[in-house]
Amino acid sequence: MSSDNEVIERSAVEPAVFATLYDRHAPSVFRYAAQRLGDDAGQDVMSETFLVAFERRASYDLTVPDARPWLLGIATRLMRKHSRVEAAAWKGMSADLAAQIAPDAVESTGSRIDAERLSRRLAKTLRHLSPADRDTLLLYAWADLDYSSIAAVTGVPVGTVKSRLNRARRLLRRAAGAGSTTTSTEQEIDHGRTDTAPQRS
Amino acid sequence: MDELTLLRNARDDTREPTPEMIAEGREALVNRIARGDGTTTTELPRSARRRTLPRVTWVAAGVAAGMIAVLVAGNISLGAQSAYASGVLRAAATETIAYANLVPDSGEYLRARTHARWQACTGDEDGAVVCAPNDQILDVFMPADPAAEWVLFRDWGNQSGITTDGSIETIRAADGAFYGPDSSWVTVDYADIPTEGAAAYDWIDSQYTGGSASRDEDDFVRITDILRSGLVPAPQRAALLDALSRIPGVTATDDVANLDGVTGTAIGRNEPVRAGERQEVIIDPATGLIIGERTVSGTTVFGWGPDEVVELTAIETTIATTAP
Repeated sequence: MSSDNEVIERSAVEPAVFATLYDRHAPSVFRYAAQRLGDDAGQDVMSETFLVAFERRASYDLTVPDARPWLLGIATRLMRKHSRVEAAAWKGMSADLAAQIAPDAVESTGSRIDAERLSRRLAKTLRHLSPADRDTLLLYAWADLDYSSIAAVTGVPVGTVKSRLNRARRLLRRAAGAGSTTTSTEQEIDHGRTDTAPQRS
Repeated sequence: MDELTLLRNARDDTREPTPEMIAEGREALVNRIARGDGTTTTELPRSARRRTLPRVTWVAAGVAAGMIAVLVAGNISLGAQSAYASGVLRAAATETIAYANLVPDSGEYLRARTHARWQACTGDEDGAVVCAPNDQILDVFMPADPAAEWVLFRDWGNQSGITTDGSIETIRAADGAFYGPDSSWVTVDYADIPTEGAAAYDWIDSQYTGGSASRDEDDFVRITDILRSGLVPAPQRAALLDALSRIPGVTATDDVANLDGVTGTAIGRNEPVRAGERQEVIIDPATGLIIGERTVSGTTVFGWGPDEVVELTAIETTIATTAP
């Protein structure tokens, strides 16, 4: 099976093969977008992402085998058009989030608040993050991109990614009721990946 | 467990698009692909073989004069068509009288400006794909010294999600590789193009590797891919125009205005599989220069009716003493 970069390279002379990329990554783009915007807007972003990607395929760095970060970067930029939808989605997402958070996860935060209150705080914090910080955090936590991939798709240095992530995590930590453990470092230290798997998986 | 893991736990990994969602998105993409590339960049990918561009001087060849003599001779209706178009193009290419070729001096640039009105597609609130015209400006500055730095100034217009800041980007790259080291703005080494029409046609046709709705369509598209750069030296451009005349289904339409209102003759092709959609290059019969492109719909698609202009560009090639 051809890697993504091989497919994109081939699509320069045989555009129809670009649909292969859609078949591989559309569900992943949808999951990320729908988680943030809801299913309807998530579907729009999924579809539009591949239309933009097709137009921009000549700009793809052919040394990168996996196109998923590139596609998620496009999706993230497209989602800026849906900021109102996203703001509304965060407001209504508390119950959804609560359903996703396993009871032992709530327990292990050390917080006495229940899952619903915790998720409400998380949603509120996410809603109030700056767009850049929120994009960075969610590309990291929900899309599983690493620092360098986030830096590449958002067009900022890796150091900026770490700073944004650190800032966002501090606020999240405070919302989760564990503010006393706030890190003193200015930039994110790459320790978040030590506990990467969702507890449900 | 830290707050990051807590957030990851909040992620709903069971959320999947329905088969209908996937099918709709795929259909939109496939339709987009079938309509052809919407941007020059996507159609001008790479040419690993391109190393130097020939410096062509004044050539004794009367392409322009021949085109005036023959193309302007008749107001060609689309019904007149293939035979006439082939005839006039071939005759034009075989006329040999002196004509000027744009060649930058040392330190100067050959500048090709494309003013393009292409369709930008987005999904509306109901999930349907909606396309609207979007104007872009693409200024390519090719240096006299092929080894020097090329410059691309590009204004993406209203198209969102492309550049991180605003709509304008200026890219500098050797060899015209604006979008990656393996890309090049021109698709071939111009020196490789035979300067005789039949040979140029054979050269193009021999490179067919499948794809497109037909071999003829693919040949036509690959020739226009080369021509639309606005940077092809005159002898090779003349040969490619002649090669176009040899492709079945070629049509000619006089007095077609490009996006900037400059009129010329549109050379196109009807592809039955495309439901009559025509891709055309617009030629200035007085100079033989490519002055634009247009796409004319053959059927109702995305709100356009038959014979409506879906996409239109203006291409202007000049000598520039400086680049941005």
